Order: sequence, then C-alpha cells, then structure tokens
Amino acid sequence: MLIQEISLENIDFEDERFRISEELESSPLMDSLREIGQLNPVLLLERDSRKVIVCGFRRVRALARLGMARALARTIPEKSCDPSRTFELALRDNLSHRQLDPLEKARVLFSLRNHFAVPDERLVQAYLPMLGLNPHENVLRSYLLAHVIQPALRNCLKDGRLTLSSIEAVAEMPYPVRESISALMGKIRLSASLQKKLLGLLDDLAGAAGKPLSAPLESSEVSEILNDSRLSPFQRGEKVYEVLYRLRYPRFSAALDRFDAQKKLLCLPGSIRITAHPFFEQPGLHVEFDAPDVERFRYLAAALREASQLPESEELFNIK
Amino acid sequence: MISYRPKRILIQEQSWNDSATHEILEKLPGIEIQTISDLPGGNPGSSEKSTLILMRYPGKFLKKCQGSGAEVCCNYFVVSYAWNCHLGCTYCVLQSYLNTEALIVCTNIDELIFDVRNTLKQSPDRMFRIGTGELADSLALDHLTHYSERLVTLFASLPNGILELKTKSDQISNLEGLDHGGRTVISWSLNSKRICRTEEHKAAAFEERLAAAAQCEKWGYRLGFHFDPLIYHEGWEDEYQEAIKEIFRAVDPRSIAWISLGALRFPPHLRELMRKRFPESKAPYGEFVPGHHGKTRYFRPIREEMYRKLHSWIHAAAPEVFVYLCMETRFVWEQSLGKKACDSFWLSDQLDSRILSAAPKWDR
Repeated sequence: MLIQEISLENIDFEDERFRISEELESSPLMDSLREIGQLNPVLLLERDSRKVIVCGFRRVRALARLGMARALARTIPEKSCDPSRTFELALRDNLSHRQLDPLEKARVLFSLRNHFAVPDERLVQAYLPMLGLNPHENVLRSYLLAHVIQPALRNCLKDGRLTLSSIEAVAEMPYPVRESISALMGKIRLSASLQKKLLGLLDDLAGAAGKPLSAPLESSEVSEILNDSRLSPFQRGEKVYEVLYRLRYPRFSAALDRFDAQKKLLCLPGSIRITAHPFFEQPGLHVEFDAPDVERFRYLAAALREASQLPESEELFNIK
Repeated sequence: MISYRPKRILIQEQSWNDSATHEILEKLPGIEIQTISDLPGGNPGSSEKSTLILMRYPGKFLKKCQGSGAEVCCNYFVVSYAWNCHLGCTYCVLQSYLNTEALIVCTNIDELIFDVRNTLKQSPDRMFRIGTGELADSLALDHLTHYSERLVTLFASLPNGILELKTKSDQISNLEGLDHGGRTVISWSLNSKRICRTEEHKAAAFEERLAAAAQCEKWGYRLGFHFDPLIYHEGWEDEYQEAIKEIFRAVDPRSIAWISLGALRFPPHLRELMRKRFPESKAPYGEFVPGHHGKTRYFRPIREEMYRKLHSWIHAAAPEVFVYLCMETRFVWEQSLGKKACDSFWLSDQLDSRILSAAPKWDR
C-alpha cells in the first residue's frame, strides 16, 4: 500500500461506518499536527472518486480545522475488501495502541451488528473478548443499549457517573425520568453499589406512592442538598441516598436513630463498640472493646459497668 | 370465586390405573387430554395454569411443615396431593417455589391414605395435626377431586390425627353430611376486605368465605381462621378490626378452634416477581428487612404492632378464642401477645387440645 497525499475535498466526512472514536475533537492532536505535521498516514477506502475514512477520523478532522488541504493516506480499493473485514481492520488498529472507553466499545458492537450484520453469537464469542469484556449475551445487550440511549445518560456513562448496569436500569424508565436521573447524576457522585441502591429506592418509593419515579427527587430536602455548594458531589450523593432511605424505611431509620441516641447517652469511651442484632430482630446487644493492657481493660470495664447501671442502657434492649 | 376448569389435561401413563383419574375426568368432559410419559418440564403447554396434570406422586406424602425449626413452631405436618393454585394471589410463594405454572393433582390418593394411616399407627402416643394446604389450596380443586370426602372420613377414624383443610375458596359442598368425628378443622385464610379484593384475585370474596365458614359450622365442623399474610396497608387498623367483627357476627366463637396471625414474608426473589406480575399491587412495598430462614419480612416492630392490635380486637370480641403466631420468635410472642415462656411443645399442645377437648371421645 502506497502512501499518497490525498485532497481533503475527496474525503467523505459524512460516512462514519468505520468510526470507532467517540470524541472526534482533540486539542493535543491539533497542537501536534500544527507543530510537527502529520507523521502517521490515515487509512482510506477508495470508492469511485470519493474516499471513506477507515482509520484516522480525528486526524482528518484536525487537519481540516487547521486549514490543511491534503492528508497523508494509505488507500485500499473498496472491491478488494469485505466491509466487515475493513471494520475489523480499524478496530484492531485502534486496539493496538489504546484502550477504548465504554461508549466506544458500545459503538463498535452496534456497528458490527447493525452496519455489518455480524450475528449476536459471533459478537459474544469473538468480539466481546477482543474488547476485554465477558462473553455473555447480557453484556452485549447492555452495550448495545448504551449506544442508543439519550446523550445525557451516555455522558454519565462516559464520565463514570453511572455504571453500565445502572444505565441499563435507567433505560427501562420513561423518558422524563431518565432526564431527571441524568440531571441528578450531574450533581452527585455515587459508588456503583450506591447507584444500584438509589435506583432501587426510587423505584420502590414510586411504586408505593403510585407516582413517577422522579417524584421523590422533587422534594425540598433533596433540592437543598443538591444545591448546597459546600458539599462535594460524593457528599451530596450520600446525603440524597440517606434522605431516600429514610423515606423508604421510616420506622427502621427511626429505630437506628433512637439506638444511636441512647448509646450516646451512656457516654462510653469510643473504643467500646455496641451493636444491636441486625434489623433489631432480636433484643440482644453485642459489646466489643480492645484492651492492650490490664490498665486499659479495667478502665473500659469500669466505664461499661457504670453505663450498665444507667436507665438508658435498658432502652437499648427495647428499640422499637 | 372463580372455579377452576382446565383447558387441557396431561395424564401420566401410570395415572390411568388410578380410579381417581377417571373420577376427575368424568367431571371434565370435552377437554383435550394427552397422555405423557414424563413429568412436567419438557411438555409444551404444561407451564400454564389452564393445564391440569394428573400424576402419581412417588415419594412419601406426610412431611413436617417447613415452619418447623422456628423458635416457636406449632409442630404441623403436611400432606400434599396437589401442587399449585389458580387463585392468583399476588404474594403467593408458589410463584417462585414451583417450576411449572400448571396445576398438578396426584391420583394415587390411596397411597396417601395408606401413608397417613400407617405413619399415625406407628406412633400411637403422638398427636399429628396435619394440613393439606401447603402447596395448594385444600378445597379449590375439590369440585374435581372430591378428596376431602376421603380425608375427612379417614381422620374421623384415626385416634391420633387432626386434619386441617385450609382454603380461600367457598367450595364446601362435598363436606356436607360427612362423618367428621370432630377431627377436621375447616380453616379460611382471611384478610381485610380490601386485600381479599385487590391481592387475592380469583379467591372467594371475604363475605363468601365467611358464609362458607358459617355453613361448615352448621355441619358441626370446628373452624380455623388464618390472618396470614397480614399486609400493612393504609387503613389496615380499621379494615382488620372490621374483618374480625364480621367473623364473630358470622360464627359462634365456640366453634373456632384457633386463629393464627402471620405477617407477609417471602423469599427475597419473590418481590421482583410480584412487581412484574402484579404492578398494581402495593404488597411488595412494605418496610421489609431480611429475616429468619432467608425470608424477607416486615421490620419487627411493625409485625408486633399488627399482632398486638389484632390479638386485642379478637380477645375483646371473644376472649376464649386461641390466637397464635406463625413462624415467629419467642421474643415476638412476648412483645405482641404477652405470652411468656411459650415454646413449640406448649403451642402444639394448645392447638391439639382445642380439638381433642371438643371432639367426641374416642371409643371406636
């Protein structure tokens, strides 16, 4: 394959069949092209007089934005190459020098399936492992969904504000709810497990009240948290989760509060840990402390003994 | 109540040898019949409630109730001659327990009777309180099987057996005129009228169940009522209180052998199933926490509040009626019913004595 200079006017910028990169604008690439010029030729598919980009979407765009008229390119004639094979060429070229982000993986799978008619079985068996994903049909389904979901949620996935499984859960919700969730996620950050729990709480609260899933997010308490600039996105996320948890489990949350309040009244040293039976199902307490020496042991034991005589200690056994 | 009539009957080859098969078929003329060699699973159409499967059960019929092992357990035994139910209650555990939607009836009822008779004969000093409503409603298919006739008369002849037929139906006509010897309790699973209407779709209405109970009382049967599952819902206090009042308006408290209380509980994965199948149901949205035996259940103080109030309403209306809790800890018993030092033996004795003291003395 010869390297030649091709006029940008002959390149079809609209045909994105072989596109893999999600983000096409790149300032560092433009800086590099401006300073040292184009080192790596792009790969083009020759179709009549027009050329279709196979590898180098970002380079071609950057050259155009810099006002260059021509690009260094290798060309392959369309008739000599099967389209799906050509796409794989682009994919392998990308994978050889960088990691694809989740949206790019989603784009690859979507293109293979919808533009190149690769059957699902082959996508699962061959392409998911190639992309570093588990070869399971559920994984394929999730990624295909991620490609077609609304842009705000795609951005959440790209920025790591929603996991793929959260995206999958949100995708089943009505459009306005998806909008609310993506707006919420713009203001908070949650771990993967908290995302799942928060979506579960919203779903439950909506189901119980017969209202839209986004209704609990419209409360003044949640608004105050979301607009509190003193809090970090992670702190806001935790506080919103707490508010929703209390709405979903009011009596259990109140019992936890009472238990903590009673514990505080005992004024025990911090190294004595008192816990209740999970979910207060049984009345017992679990008391635990570490004593590195006999002096500390006597001190903690005495504090515990003193606390045990207080009426507040009885309340700990009767949390309702 | 919506009576069950299958659209299709699958009959296991060996079941053709049982008279019960032919008796059931006589009541279902004009329905497509197919003989099968294997049990359900690979049979097309076998996974619909409209399919009735007649088969022989190869194992032992009499088993301990799955509640055994709870801290305070009533030492109940179960015999299952049918699996699954067409009543479509939203919270029904059978949705996730069985691997087929089809209703299954065992045709080797003679073997069941032999099993029960033999087991009870081998332990003559022990009382066996036995129910048939664990994996199916005891009477919902009785218009087809008539098994109640054979079981009621069987237990009348057993010195150490008590039979409980537990139902949400009003199909009691087969019970009329049977020689029950005071050894059969006909029990109704009851709920508030609203829950009966919204969560127990094809079951008999609340009023129909009470009317059936009143009729059974006239035929001399002892009655049981099970407020199980209690569902915490808006207005539950008024609605359950009203339900209790209606019980005592319909039947004489002296006819009631027992009333049990049990709050809604289910395996965790059932919740998703309930939400998918019955999106209108509010039952999955209670304040549930992980509980004993891997089941999800209401936060303990909620259960205690419901038990305490229902017990007080029952006690106020009929102090002599025995009330017990199903699958609860001693702690919950104490907190809600104020009963101290109760254990499984005590509970079991209490329940047995409700029947034995009232039943005609054994003199056969």
